[in-house]
Amino acid sequence: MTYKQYNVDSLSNTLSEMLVRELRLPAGSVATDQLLTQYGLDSIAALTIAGDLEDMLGLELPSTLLWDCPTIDHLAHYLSGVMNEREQVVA
Amino acid sequence: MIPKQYREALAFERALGDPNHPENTLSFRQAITYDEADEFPEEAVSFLSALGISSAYVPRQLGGSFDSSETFVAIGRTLARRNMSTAVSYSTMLWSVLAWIGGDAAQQRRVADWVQHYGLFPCLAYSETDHGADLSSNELTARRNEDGSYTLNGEKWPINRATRSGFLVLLARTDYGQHLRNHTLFIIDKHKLDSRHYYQLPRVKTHGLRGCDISGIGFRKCVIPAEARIGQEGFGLELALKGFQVTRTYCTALSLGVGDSTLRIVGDFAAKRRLYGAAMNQLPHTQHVLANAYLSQLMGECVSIVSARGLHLYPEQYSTWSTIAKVHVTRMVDFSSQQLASILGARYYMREQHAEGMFQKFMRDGAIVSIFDGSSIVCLDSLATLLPTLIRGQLNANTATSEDLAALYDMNRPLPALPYERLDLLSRGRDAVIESLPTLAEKINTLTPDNYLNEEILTRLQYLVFKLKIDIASLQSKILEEPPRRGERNSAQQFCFAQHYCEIHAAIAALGIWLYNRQTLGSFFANGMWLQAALMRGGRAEFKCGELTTEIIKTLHEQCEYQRTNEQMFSLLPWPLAEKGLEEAALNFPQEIHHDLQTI
Repeated sequence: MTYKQYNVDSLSNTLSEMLVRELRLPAGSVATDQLLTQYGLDSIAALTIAGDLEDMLGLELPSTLLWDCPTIDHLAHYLSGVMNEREQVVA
Repeated sequence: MIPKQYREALAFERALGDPNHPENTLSFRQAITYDEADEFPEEAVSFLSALGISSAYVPRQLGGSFDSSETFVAIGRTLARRNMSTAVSYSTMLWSVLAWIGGDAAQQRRVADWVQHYGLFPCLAYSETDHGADLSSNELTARRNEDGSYTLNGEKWPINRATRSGFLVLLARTDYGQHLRNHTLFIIDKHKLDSRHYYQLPRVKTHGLRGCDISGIGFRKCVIPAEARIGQEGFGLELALKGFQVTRTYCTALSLGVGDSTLRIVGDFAAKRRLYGAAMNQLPHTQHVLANAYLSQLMGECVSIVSARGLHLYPEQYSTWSTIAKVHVTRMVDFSSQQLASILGARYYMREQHAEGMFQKFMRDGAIVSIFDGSSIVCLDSLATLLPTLIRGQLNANTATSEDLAALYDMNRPLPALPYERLDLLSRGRDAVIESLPTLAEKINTLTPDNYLNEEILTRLQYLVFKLKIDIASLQSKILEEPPRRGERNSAQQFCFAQHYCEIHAAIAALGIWLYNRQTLGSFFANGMWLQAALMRGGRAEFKCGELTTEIIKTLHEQCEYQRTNEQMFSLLPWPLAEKGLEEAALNFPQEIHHDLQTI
């Protein structure tokens, strides 16, 4: 993958699609700057999504990732940082 | 021989003396007297403090005597089998664990000192009247001041020992947002609070645990120092959940203590009572209930011991493991006790006479375990949510080696210190007990009959383990077919899956304990019939008449009777109890005081 694929916007779109699917929400209904807890995500379900993201991205992530990054915007910023850092190490 | 990590509990048992000796401080007579008067078990709690039992709550590296959860659980069983009101009033000491998990070195030293040297009791101030288990919605606030101190406003209720506590382990909202970093944990020295700014809420009358200090505390602009904060601001819920991972594991001790006494009280009654020309315990139905309740106690013990050991080895798996242990052992004991009540008949309903009327007290008091520290429903809900992640991981996990399993199941293997820093909120698809099944199955398939184990039982056990493998595989695929919908509450079916998962966990724990301790725990343990019964029951808490064969019932009942009449704990271990009439240990303090007075 190239650096561009880890940019914040594309990650934000991927995460929005994933959460729309996971939370069974109408397409496009998740605002990236809103708290995910507003969409019915509780503390335990938030942990399991962190686990899914680990599998999806092949990264080890903190289990409380969605606690520390409570919106899609936060999450996308954090993940793009982690992934680009990994890319640089690999390169 | 009983493994050496049980020695402390054996000494404690003797120090407390025979609970049927009315003069002992922790006797049934005293327990019921305080219960009837709805009074706090003051004398019993003071006696425990005088024995120095508070050091059992403090890690050895901080000057206490705690180094094994297995020992800790054994001490808890010893206490709970006498009086749950006392056990629950004393065991708030356990909330000091939040300092071991999240505190810095100075905070840990301070809390260790409070507990061990000053005998100060903490209380867990999490609950609020309107929010129950929904901790992130709580309203009590801690506002940070410029100098780093915090100002508290709000109330906590209902809280065990809210009034009679020396310090508070308190969860307070530090951010108004409805997110998961909105709470912070504090450990607060109550003696340093300005009395104008806090107040106690009156004690509430309860169904069981009568006399216990179930009350509350409120704050009005109450300032607490910066040093009271444990961990980072906003990390309170995370610390709270990690704390429960430890305490839920230890809750099994309370249930097993209750289970031992309800079975013992009914066993004593059924042996003495003559009905239709014979002792009541010769009636087939009575034997069936006693034998099954005994089996539940053995299965619960396996879950408890394995979870206590696992906490030292696999702490990162305790978001689910501790839940399974607490929910299932409580369920086993609660169900058996209800069945035993029917054997006791009218005496179940009496608050005096047989065993001082303690059976009904144990029933009322024991019911608390399925309510506190996260009720069984709350626990099963979180387990159901975590199960699909857990199972996907299991399906990809490497097979556990026999060496890994020996560390977990062999009770003669020493345990490493408990690494609190490895507790995690997500077990990342790992469950050492479920994952151990393929290796355990391989091990049992290579066993050959010996002096204790006959071929017939071995063949049955091998077949039952084969069935257990099918059972877990089928449950795993059902769970993956119907995963919880995030953003929605779990379905009844998903609760049912979580329950079934606990049952399979219990069956595997029993299998592991048997396979790795066959050489050391005597002929009843080694011949495997109890394990056959546990596997036939499928680890379930519930039992029905006629489910087990007459031969199995007879073997279980005989061992239960042997342990009852020889004053042993109902256990897979040869665990001696205080003999009949044993007086409690004399405390030397009065003589010393007398001596000091003479010197003066």
